[in-house]
Formats: sequence, C-alpha cells, structure tokens
Amino acid sequence: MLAILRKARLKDKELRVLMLGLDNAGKTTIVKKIMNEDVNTVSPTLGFIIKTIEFEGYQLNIWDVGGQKTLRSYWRNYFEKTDALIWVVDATDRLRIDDCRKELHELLQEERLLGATLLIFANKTDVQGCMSEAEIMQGLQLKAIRSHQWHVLRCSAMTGENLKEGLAWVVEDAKLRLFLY
Amino acid sequence: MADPKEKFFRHFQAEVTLIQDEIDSLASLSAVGGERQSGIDKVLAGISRLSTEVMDARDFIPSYDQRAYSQAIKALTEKLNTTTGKFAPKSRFQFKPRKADTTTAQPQVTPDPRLHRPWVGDGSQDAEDTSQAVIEDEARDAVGTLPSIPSAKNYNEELARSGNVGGVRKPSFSTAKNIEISEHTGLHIMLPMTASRATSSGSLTDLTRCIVDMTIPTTTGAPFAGLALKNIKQSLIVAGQVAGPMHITGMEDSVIVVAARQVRMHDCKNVHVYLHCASHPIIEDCSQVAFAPLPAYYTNESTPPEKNQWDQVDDFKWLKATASPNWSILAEESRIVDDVWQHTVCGKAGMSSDDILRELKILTKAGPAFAS
Ligand SMILES: Nc1nc2c(ncn2[C@@H]2O[C@H](COP(=O)(O)OP(=O)(O)OP(=O)(O)O)[C@@H](O)[C@H]2O)c(=O)[nH]1
Ligand SMILES: [Mg+2]
Repeated sequence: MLAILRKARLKDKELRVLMLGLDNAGKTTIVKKIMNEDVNTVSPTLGFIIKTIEFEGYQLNIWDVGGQKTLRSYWRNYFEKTDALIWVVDATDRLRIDDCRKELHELLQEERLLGATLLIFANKTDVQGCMSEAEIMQGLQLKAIRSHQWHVLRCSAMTGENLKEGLAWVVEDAKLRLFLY
Repeated sequence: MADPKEKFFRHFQAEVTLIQDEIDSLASLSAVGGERQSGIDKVLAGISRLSTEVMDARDFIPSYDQRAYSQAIKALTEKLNTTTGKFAPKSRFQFKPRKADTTTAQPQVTPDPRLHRPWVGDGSQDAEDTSQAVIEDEARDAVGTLPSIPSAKNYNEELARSGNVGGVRKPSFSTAKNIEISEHTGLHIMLPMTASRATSSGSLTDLTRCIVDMTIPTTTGAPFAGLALKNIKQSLIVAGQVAGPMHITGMEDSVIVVAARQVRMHDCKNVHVYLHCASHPIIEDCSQVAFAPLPAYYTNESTPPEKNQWDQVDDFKWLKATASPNWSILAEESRIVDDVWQHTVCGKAGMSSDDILRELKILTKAGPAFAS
C-alpha cells in the first residue's frame, strides 16, 4: 500500500525528504546553502522548517526538523510518507559521535522509515582536522546497518561542496526504487 | 651577486639581531592588557620563521652550517626563556609538542626548531594539568622527525609528568590543527598567537577554577570554526572569536565572553554570558543564565558584522508565550566593567587565578559562591 502511494508521488515527481541529526549538525545551513540564502545568521531550529527545492525536474519537499534534545521526541511526527532520510553528522564533533550513533540506530528501527533511502551527510568537512570517512563509518557503526540502503558523502554547508551531489543521489535512488516496486 | 650561502648568512644575522632586540625590549612592555604577550608572540613567530627559513635553505647550506644556525636559534629560544622567566608571577599554561613515537620520558634538550620549542616559564606547583592536542604535521616535513601521516598525539602523560616538577610549558601550536584543553584545575591559560593555526575547531573540557583566554589567536589570527565547552565549573572562559557555533554543555558558576555565530547552551546553571551573537542564543535544560552584550574592551574590527542578538534568547524548555524563568538580562550594575577586563583578567602582577576569580565573584573566600 505504502509502496503504491510512493509510486504515485514519484510519478508526480515529488519526493518527501526528511532531514534529521543532532542539534548543531548543520541541517538548516545545508538547506539554506542549497537555496542560496544567507548562512551566517541561522538560528538553531525551534520546531521545523519545510523547504521545496526543484532539482533535476523533481520537487523535493525537505523537512528540516530541529535536533535539540527536547525536539527529538517529536521526530516521529514527521516519519509518515518519507521517501528519503538525510542524516546529517557534524564531522568535527568527536565528543558526541556516540550520541549521534545511538540516535541514528534508534531511528532506523522505525517501521515507517523502512522503505526510505538513507543518505548520510558528513558535514563541516571544510574544517581542518575533522573526522575522516573511516572514522565516521566506525563511529556510527554504519556497516551494521542492514535495514536501509545507505550512502555517505562528505560535504560542507559553508563551501557548498557535495550538497548537490547528495540530492542527486537521493533522486537517483528514489528513481531506482520506482522500478523495483 | 653574493652566493646564496653568504646572502643567507647575512640575512640570518640581521634577523637574529632584530629578535634579540625584541626580546630585550619585552621587559619594558606592559604585562597587563596583553601587550607583553603580543610581544612574546611576535618573538616566537620570528624564531619560528627563522627556523623555517633555515630549513628551506638546507639545499645550499652545508650540514655543518645548518647545525650552527640551529644553535643560534636554540640560543634565541633560551634567551627568551630566561627573559620571560623573570616576569610573570602568573602561571601560564604551556603545551609542549611531543613526538608521537616517543615511548620514554624525554626531557626537552634539543629543540626542534621547526616546532619552535617551548620555553620554560615560571612554575605553577599546584596546577594539575593533563592536556591533549591533536597534532598533524605539515606535508613539507623537512626534518623528518614526525611521521608523515596525520596522527593524534597525546600530551596527557607528558604534562602530568612535568606537573610533578612544577614546570609550565608554553604552547606551541605551529603544527597543531585542533585545540583540545582538558582536565585542569586552577590554571591561568592564555593561548599565544601561534595557536591561531590550530583554531580550526576546539574543545575545552573538564576545567575547574580555570581562566582560559583565547582572545589573541582568535581575533588577530583565525577564529574558531566551532568551539565546544563541556563540564566547566567556577571558571572564566574568554573564548574570543568563533565563526560558527559555540556549543556548551554542563557549565556551572562560570563566566563566558564570546563573539560567535551561534550559542547553544545545555545543562548550565548560574552562568553569566557576555555575548556577541549573530543568531538567537539558545538554552536547553538551563537555569540562572544571565546575558550581557560583549564588553567594549573585547569589541573590535574583527567582531562579526552581523547584528548582535545577545538578548533574543530561545529557551527550548519553555515553549510558552510568557518569559522564561531560566534566563535573564544581566543587570548593568552587575556587569564586569571594562577596567576589570583590561587590568585584572589579562593578568595582574601578584594575582593568582583564584585571586582573579575571586575579584570577579566567581569564587568567594569561602569557596565557590558565585551568584546571579
Ligand atoms: N565550518 C562549517 N560550519 C558549519 C557547516 N555547516 C553548519 N555549520 C555551522 O554549524 C552551526 C549549526 O548549524 P545549523 O544549520 O544551525 O545546525 P542544525 O543541524 O540545523 O541545528 P538544529 O536546528 O539545532 O537541529 C552553525 O553555526 C553553522 O554556521 C559547515 O559545513 N562548515
Ligand atoms: Mg536547524
């Protein structure tokens, strides 16, 4: 049933993308950068923000939900009908990589997210001395993920590096699914 | 035209004379207001530059001469040590780079000029310090004493060891890429200009009764891309400039001064924040947090141009329309005045870090009792 709904929306070339991650990961800044908006005065998200991005003929409805502890219990309100999940990690935040892993793995057990593709953005890689891809794979135990198709991309919301590539992967993966169903 | 060897020799001589003069004039610089520290930083930078030049010239300098040059640089470093050892009643925290693969205790004897080795200042006998700096060496690693792949080097052991003999080290961050200061009690730490190369990101964790001042490298050098503070009690953190977020967790009975793009506070209690913030500062699970604008003393041309939103605080634990009881605006008469920032916080002769913390009411005679 869910699959059929998804398919219908894909035909309309519309994708629902849920963007989550710990507070301070850079979710809002990523969205702002993609939309060419000012990235220097972003406040921490109190609630959520929806942005629509036209990308390669697709309409991506991006749900950027705040990651502060208080808000995490509300995340589940946004799971329904999610086509793609973008998990944003702050690659400079070694102190909270364990928290980040726990939140991610808990999220992936969520039934309503099972059909969604998973893109992991290792953000802030413009910062010297940030975690390497191997360090992030290890820190987040990505290899243990069986429930989802996943892909990691190093990116920077400041320089814009790899942001478009991330969206392209999300769209490609969603298209593939259309044929699989 | 003179041959490069000779040309370099003359250049070197001139530089050494210049640096010697600079060292001699340090004593006449004022210790307050960071003036002397800037002078010291300038000397360190000069020594560092000279070491690099010697290394770059190794192609045409015979190895015998190289050694002579190294000796001269070492002598400069020692001169600086002796000179600075004479002033500063205040303990200055100092890092010392250590080779990653050194397994045994190795008191510093031969300075590696490339790291413009630390000088020994005055002692701070009661300081317990363990620190860690993440060091990655430069691609052009000429001396070859460091591994050529990036590696994290742990300073904990070494600092703990030298803590026993009461030595204080001057941090050299010329090859560090991150600043990670942790587990200290009762230290006055001032990061030198050389640290500006390591301010890509930073963390301060587990500090009690400390004063940490990072103004110099982050305002005249390079701002932090992000800064994390965790478990800090009864301390004063003058964080300088952060071009991204300042993320604070578990801070109590303390004062922070910072110019940042974002400020995020969690599990904090009884903290005064002097702030320039380009977005809404936020608090979560906090109480008794008081905000004030960045003091004029710390405001300069490098302060971010965006509008200061220091009083537009969002409390994630108070989503009602009424005002949050967890934060307030620090009353003007309770704010620390510029004179104190300038003359006490930057170091005052004869004052220990505890004395300074007492003057700022972060500590009382009886112990911690800083109150909003
Ligand atoms: N250097 C650097 N800083 C970044 C990057 N992305 C985000 N930041 C900074 O990180 C901080 C947090 O960014 P936000 O976009 O507010 O983070 P968020 O994930 O939306 O946080 P919440 O809304 O609390 O969930 C900001 O100060 C950004 O300027 C990046 O790629 N590089
Ligand atoms: Mg946000």
